[in-house]
Amino acid sequence: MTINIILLKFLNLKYKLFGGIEMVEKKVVIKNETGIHARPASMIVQLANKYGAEVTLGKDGNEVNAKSIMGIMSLGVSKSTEVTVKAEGEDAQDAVNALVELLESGFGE
Amino acid sequence: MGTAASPGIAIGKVLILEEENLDYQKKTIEDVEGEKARLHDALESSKEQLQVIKDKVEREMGNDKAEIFQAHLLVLADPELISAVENKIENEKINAEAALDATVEQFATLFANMDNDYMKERASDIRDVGSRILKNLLGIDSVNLAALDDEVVLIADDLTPSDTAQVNKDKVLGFATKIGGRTSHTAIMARSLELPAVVGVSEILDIVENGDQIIVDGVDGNIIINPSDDQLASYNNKAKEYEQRKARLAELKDLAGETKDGHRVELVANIGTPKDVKGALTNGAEGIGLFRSEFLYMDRDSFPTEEEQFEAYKEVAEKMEGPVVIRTLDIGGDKELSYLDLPEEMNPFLGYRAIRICLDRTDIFKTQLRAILRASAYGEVKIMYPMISALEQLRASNEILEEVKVELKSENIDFNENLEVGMMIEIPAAAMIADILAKETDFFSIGTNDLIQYTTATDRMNENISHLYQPFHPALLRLIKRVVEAAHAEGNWAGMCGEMAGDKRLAPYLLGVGLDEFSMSAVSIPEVKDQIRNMTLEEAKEIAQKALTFSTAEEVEAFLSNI
Repeated sequence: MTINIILLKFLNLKYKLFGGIEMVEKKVVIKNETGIHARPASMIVQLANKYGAEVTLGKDGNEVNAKSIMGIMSLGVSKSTEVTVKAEGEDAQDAVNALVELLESGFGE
Repeated sequence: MGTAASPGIAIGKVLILEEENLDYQKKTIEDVEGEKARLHDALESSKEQLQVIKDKVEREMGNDKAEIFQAHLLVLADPELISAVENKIENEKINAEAALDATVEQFATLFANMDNDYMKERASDIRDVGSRILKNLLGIDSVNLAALDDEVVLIADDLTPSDTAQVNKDKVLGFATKIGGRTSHTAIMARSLELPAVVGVSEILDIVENGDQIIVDGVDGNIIINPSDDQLASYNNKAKEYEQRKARLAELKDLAGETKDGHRVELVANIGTPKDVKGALTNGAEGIGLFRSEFLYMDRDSFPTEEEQFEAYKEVAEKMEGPVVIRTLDIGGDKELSYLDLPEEMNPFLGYRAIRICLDRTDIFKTQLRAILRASAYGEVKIMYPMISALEQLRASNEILEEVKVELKSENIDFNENLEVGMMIEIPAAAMIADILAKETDFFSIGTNDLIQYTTATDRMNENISHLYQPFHPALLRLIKRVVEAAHAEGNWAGMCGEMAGDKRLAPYLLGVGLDEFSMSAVSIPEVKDQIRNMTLEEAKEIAQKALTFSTAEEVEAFLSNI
C-alpha cells in the first residue's frame, strides 16, 4: 500500500515536473437550433487554434481535429447531440474549458 | 438589342466575366517538395484574394454576409485538407492540381452525401474554394471584382448575387448580360447600385472581346461596340443630358407627390436592407412601402434571431421618419433557405411559401412579429402579409398577431398598439374578394410582379413566354381598379409595391383610379413624381377611363406611352 502511494506521488511529481502531458476530456450537449453550422464551426476552429494542445471533437465514437473546419462540419452535429471535447498537451485544460464554454453558450445565437 | 434595365450611359472598356476553363493534366512528378511549395503558394494567393473579398463585403454589406467568406478562409487553412493533398503528392507522386482536385472532390462528396440539406450545400462551398486554389495553381487570373485596376463595363451571361456583392462602383461603370429582363436579379441590383445596365442581349458574348470599347445605353437598351468618333460624341452628349436630367429630378427630391390641382399621393420606396434607406432618402422617398424582410433570412446559415430582426427594423423605422411597411417572410418559390427544409415542389410558385409557411411554422412567424411590433415603438411601422389567398389566412394571421401582442404586453414591452396591419394583393383570388378582405384589414398593397404572373399564368423568368408577362394587360387594369375601390369602400388606403408603380407611363392610370401610395425602387421615384406633378387629377381620371376601353395590352401600352 505504502509503496503504491509513494509510486503514485512520484508519478504525480514527475507529471508536474514535466509540465504534464495531460489528457482532458469533457462532454457537452449542443443547444442551438441549427447545431454546428458554418458560423459555430468557424468559432470552434478559431478558438481551438489558440491553443498548442491537440484538440478533438467527438460524436458517437467519431473523433475529428477541432482545428479543421471540414472535420468539424463533417461531424454533422445537430441540436441535442452530445459531443466530447478532448485535448492533449500543455494547455489542454484551458483549451477544454474554453471550448466547453463556447459550446454551452450556444454560440451567442 | 436588349432590355434597358437600369438607366444611365456607361462608356468604357469591356471586361468579360467568363466561365473559366479549369482543365489540367494529371502528371507524374519527381520534385515532391517543389510541388508542395506550389500548393502553398496557391493557398497563399487564394487566402489573399478571399481576404480582400471578405473585407469588402464586411464593410459594405455587413458581418453576416461576410461570414461565409470567413468559413472559406478556414477551409483554405484546414490542416486535414492540406495534409491530405500533401500526402497524395508525396505518396502518388502526382502534380498539385491532380492531388488537390481529387482531395477536394473527396471532401465535397462526403458533404454532398450527408442527409442534412445545409451540409449538402457546403459541398458547393468546398468546390468553390477548390476552384479558386486550382485557378491559382494554373495561373488563371481570377477576376477579382472587388479589386479591379481599371474602369470597366462588365459583360456576362448573367451576374450572381455574389458577383454583384463585390462590385466596386469606382471601377465598374455598368453591366450588360446575355439573359435576364427588367425584373431579373441583375437588373434589380444594377438599379440599386445606380449603374447603367442592359440585359437580355442574347448575342453579347459572341460580339465582344475583352478590351473592346463599349457603350451601354441603359436608357434605351442599346449596346454599341467599338463606337466611331461620331457615335462617341453623340453618346457623350446623351450621357451629359441624362446627368443633367438626373440632377433636375434630384431637385424634385423635397417636393411633394402632388398633382397640379392639389391631389396628394404618397411616394415611397421598396427596400431590401437598412442600407437601402440612404438611396431612398436621396431620391425623395417619404417612407418605405415595402421592406422585404427575407434578406434578413438569406445568404446565411441560421435563422435571424428576434434581436437581429428587431435591430434591422428599428434602424429603418428611425432613419426614415415616415411610414415603414414591413412585409412578413416571403420565401419559397425562387428563394430558398439552406437551414429551413422546404419540400421539393413541382410548382413552387403555387406551393408552400410565404404566409403559408408562417401559418404552419408559427414559431418563425411569432419571432418576426415580435421583432416588428417592438420596432413599432420607434417609428411609424406597419405590417403587411404576403400571398394571402383567402379570408381564413388573413384571420389566422391576425389571430397570431393578437397572441403576440398579448405576450408582449404581459412582458411590459413597448409597441404601437394601433399600428396599421394590411396585406398584399398578389393572388387573383384575393383581388376578386378584395371587398370582403377590406373589412378585416387596414390597407392593401398590390404586388403587381406576382399578380401579373398568376393572372396571366406566365413565369417571368421563362424566356420562351416572357413576352406574355404584360403589365398593360386589360385584366390587370381592371383588377387594380377593383382593388382600389374595395379598399376605399371601407375607408382604407390602397398602395402598390410592384414594379408597375415605378413605371411612369402607368402613373396617370394609377392616379386616375385612385391609388393612394406608390412604392418603387428609389431610383424611379423622381420620374414618377415629375409625371404626377405635371398633370391634374381630372386629366388622370380621363386617361384611366380611356385606358380601360382597350382590348389588348399593346393598345393600352401605345396609348399610355404617348400621352
